[in-house]
Amino acid sequence: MLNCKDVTRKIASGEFREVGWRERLSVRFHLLLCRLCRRYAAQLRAIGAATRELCGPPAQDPSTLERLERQILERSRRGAQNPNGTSERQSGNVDPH
Amino acid sequence: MTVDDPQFAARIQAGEPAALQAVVHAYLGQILRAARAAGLDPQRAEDVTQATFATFIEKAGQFEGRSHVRTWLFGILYKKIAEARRELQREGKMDDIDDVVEQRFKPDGTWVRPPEPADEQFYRTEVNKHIGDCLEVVPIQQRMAFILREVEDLDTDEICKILEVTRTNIGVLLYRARNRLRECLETKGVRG
Repeated sequence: MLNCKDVTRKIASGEFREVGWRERLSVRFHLLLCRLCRRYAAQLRAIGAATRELCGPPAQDPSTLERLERQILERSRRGAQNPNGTSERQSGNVDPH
Repeated sequence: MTVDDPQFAARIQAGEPAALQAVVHAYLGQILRAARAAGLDPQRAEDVTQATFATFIEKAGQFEGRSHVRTWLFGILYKKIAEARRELQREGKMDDIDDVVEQRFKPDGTWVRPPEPADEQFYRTEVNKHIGDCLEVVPIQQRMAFILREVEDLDTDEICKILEVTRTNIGVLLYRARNRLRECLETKGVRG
């Protein structure tokens, strides 16, 4: 039997999304019986929803996006013309896998 | 053809200007949102977004198309944000969230300090008010894992590649981020 600590860990870590049906069922069963864990789960859902609302859709302000796009492309053209010159220190990762 | 098609990877790798521009255009809004969500002020978020795409363009020749171009962009962004935030990092130690959570349970794993009760609708309204402040107390790696899951809706494998951590680590990061947020909100008197 899962206890409250196990159930909250599975929910908060996202492990719950990835376990097999048997374990998922036992989490659901626990939630059915446990008002406190249900409350915890509802709070985490509200926190996720509030974060999505705060962040909104991908940035859409057309003037900002157009300006940024122009700046990025200009910068890259300058960099290409002068590869050893003004290009600043860059850190980036290589294609992972 | 969209920027996510496998054939497109070859054009990115070849540094074809139209292909690079298409990637910038397709992901600019999403990368800028993530930079803001990571806690950078608007100017810094723009700087980091520009730097992310500059690195992308500069290193396009290394892109092999084995992962999604989005994964690669978010990976570059994450490194830039981590650099930018290190300069801004505040002094002062935080409570270890694992201990805080531990103290909420009895040895048998049942609640000893359960989440505070209140009306669900009221909780949501209150969370909306304070979530911005509480996100500020979440360390950057936990915060990125949380944002990539909740806002960008990416799956675990993709978040692993972006943050360069294992699947187990992602679980720990999400667990700590969510508990830290929940504890922060409760401290602010947000009760659900």
